[in-house]
Amino acid sequence: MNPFMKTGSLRTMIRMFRHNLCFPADTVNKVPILYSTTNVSPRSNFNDTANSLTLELIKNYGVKNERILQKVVNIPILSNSDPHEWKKVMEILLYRGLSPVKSVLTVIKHPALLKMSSLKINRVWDDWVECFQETELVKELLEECPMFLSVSGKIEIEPKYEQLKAIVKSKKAVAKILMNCPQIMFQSLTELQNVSDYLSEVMIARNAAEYSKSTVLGCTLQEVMIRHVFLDKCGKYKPPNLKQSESIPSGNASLSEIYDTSEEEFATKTAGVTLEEYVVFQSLFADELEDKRIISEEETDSDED
Amino acid sequence: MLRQTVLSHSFKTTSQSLLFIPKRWNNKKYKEMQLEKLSNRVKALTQFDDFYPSLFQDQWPSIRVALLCAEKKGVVINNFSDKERIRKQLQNMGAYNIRKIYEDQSKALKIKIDSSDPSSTSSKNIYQIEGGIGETFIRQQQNDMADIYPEPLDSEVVEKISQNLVAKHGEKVSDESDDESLPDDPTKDQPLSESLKNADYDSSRLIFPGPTGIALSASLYDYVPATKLKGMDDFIPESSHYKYYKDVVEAPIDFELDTELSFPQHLDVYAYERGNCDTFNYSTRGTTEVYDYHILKLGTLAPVLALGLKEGETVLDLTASSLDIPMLICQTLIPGLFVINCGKTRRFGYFLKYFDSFFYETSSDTCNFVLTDDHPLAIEDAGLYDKVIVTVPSTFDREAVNKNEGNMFSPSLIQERLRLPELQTAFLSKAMDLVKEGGTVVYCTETLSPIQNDAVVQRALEKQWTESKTKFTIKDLSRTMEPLQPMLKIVPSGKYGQLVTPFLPNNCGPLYFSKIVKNRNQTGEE
Repeated sequence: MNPFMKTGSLRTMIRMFRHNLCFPADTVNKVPILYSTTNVSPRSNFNDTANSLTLELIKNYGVKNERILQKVVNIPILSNSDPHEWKKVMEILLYRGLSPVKSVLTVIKHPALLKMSSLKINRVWDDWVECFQETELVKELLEECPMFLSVSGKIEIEPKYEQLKAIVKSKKAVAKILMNCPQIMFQSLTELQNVSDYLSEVMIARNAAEYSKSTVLGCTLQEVMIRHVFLDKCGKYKPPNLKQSESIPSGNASLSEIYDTSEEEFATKTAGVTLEEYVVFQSLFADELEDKRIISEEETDSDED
Repeated sequence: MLRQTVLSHSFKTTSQSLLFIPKRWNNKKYKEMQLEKLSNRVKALTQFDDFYPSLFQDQWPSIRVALLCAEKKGVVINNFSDKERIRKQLQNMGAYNIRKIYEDQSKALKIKIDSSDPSSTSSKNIYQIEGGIGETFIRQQQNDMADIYPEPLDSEVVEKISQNLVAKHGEKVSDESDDESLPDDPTKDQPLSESLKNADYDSSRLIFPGPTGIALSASLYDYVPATKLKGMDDFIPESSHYKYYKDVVEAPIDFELDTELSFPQHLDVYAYERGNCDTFNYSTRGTTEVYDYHILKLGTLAPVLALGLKEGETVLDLTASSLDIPMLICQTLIPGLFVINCGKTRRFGYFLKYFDSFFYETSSDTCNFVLTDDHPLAIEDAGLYDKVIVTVPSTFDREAVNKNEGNMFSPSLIQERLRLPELQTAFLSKAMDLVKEGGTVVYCTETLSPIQNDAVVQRALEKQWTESKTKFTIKDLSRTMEPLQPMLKIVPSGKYGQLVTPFLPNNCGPLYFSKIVKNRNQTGEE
């Protein structure tokens, strides 16, 4: 059997496995070796000077953890990069108050840092601090989500920060939301505003502190709508009465229970129906939204005419 | 000048604080939501939420979401168009022929039944409504009581109340519970004046006239007791509807398992598979200048099959409210004569026009179906028809939760809604009169409410027995409807019928149907 078989043949083999079809014994033995997903990489026995220098450099900073070192070795972009780049990033991160281990882990999380200039890293870091007005919180945030150092700067950070602050009121909550759902930084402001408006005006989620406990603000409006509408139609979500005190529990599932669960868990535990029904509903809802979009487009066209 | 500025500033501040309106209340969406709360469809949904959860238990969320989503449709092919071409076209669209599914499932089921133990209960369905209707009655009354008196009642008291209710409805209460029951009130049969004489007064709460009590006693005259409760004028607790239902049946009713039901050979109904919610395009005219197919509510297929049509029979649709059932019966090409009675409505003209676009020469004498516009209760042909199907007006649960127009839950239609079971009983009784001995009546409603379903069948059977001593047999359709399960969720409902239950992957119904056969030569013998 050709060891460099095409993807199509692999798919066929997997399908045959699933259907318990006959399969030659020697082929069965070869498959796991050829397509193994274990951490053993062909690069693990490298002798490249740059790689060994990088490892040496990391070890010099006091990082002795084998698993971390192995990770550096396994990711080519990390192990192949210039040791000077490593040194530059490590110096910045250590200066910003991160421990050597956390600094290496930060680079592992976002290898693009190695290719960024120290000026850019420092400038963006300072922009974050300027927005939050709190060094420790920013350190915690950027350590968790180093990809935020790749944003263009204050021009991108400030509107997002201001918008999130307006929604959840506290700096800590903003940082928590960004850590829970970093995609917010890369979503449009309109999308975030739409989600926040939907939560406050349609779902009447009065407790903004609850937002930071879930990933709801990181969802698209359609994702937010679909689960809410489904629960509403199942009779499991009633908009809270505004005249009633906030301390009285509404009986609705929490935002976390609605948006931080798998489809199956959401359907069976939160909505009390089967997964099949939820899947069917998703397709119906998508059709409904599409119909509405077409109708609104037609109306706009006719108005223009 | 300075004074004017100060005044205008203070006025501005005061007016701003006085006219402060929360942002949410100014919001258009919020206003729409508040208006929506007053709509008829929300009223219907509130009534259902109050009543159906106790009946359907865990199944209610599933039924509720299905009711609020688009209904699954099917198509019946017009035998007078290019049938083969339409079949191919529908198959290419991914639709399945239900007749073929029914036949295959029937064969598989027959093999399963033959091979299994005869004592096994193959027809028992897991979706059967929990408990009997009597239990639901007790549960509903307890819920109503809990709404009025929110404090938790002692479990013993609840038990005693339910036992009393059961006793009232003719159930035997065990000797043990008799011992524990609440002691009888000795004053309960006395007039109020007599019982007041013997009553114990709480003297600490009495206020006597006197120098110290004048002010107090005067204030008592200001008190005007409430004569009417305002706010929920149009709310009728569903438990009150149960008065229409009696646990004890006052007529002899036979039950029989329906084992044989054939799918009409010429009836080709197509639908998409389970979970597929695609819709069918509007029909076009074929080479024969008639329409290719009719789009219908898929659930209506079940009662038509339950009729068990045979060659040359005389069939009556007593209250044809939609085109689906008449169209299905016509496309079987089985009845010798099929009378479609539209009642005194505008439907007659519409039906005539629609049938003209599906068949040739609908108005000629050779045509074997007739359209009439008599009032259902005014038809005089007693004992003439082999099969009668009666689709009575009901609360139309699906329409009620989706449309505001013509909604039975509109406050202006409360009296009509309350009178529905009576009207339904009258229509069913009429259908029972019109059918021949040995003939079949199929009763259908489009509601989940057992008061309009099982209770009406029971009342009509009792009425027939008391008025003419006619006996009827209820056909248990659980086995014959099982082959339709891949396309419809049909569950036994109550004692007398089956219910096409809304379920998102096969979103049809609600449609209740009961098959009632008029017994031969049983009149007045018992």
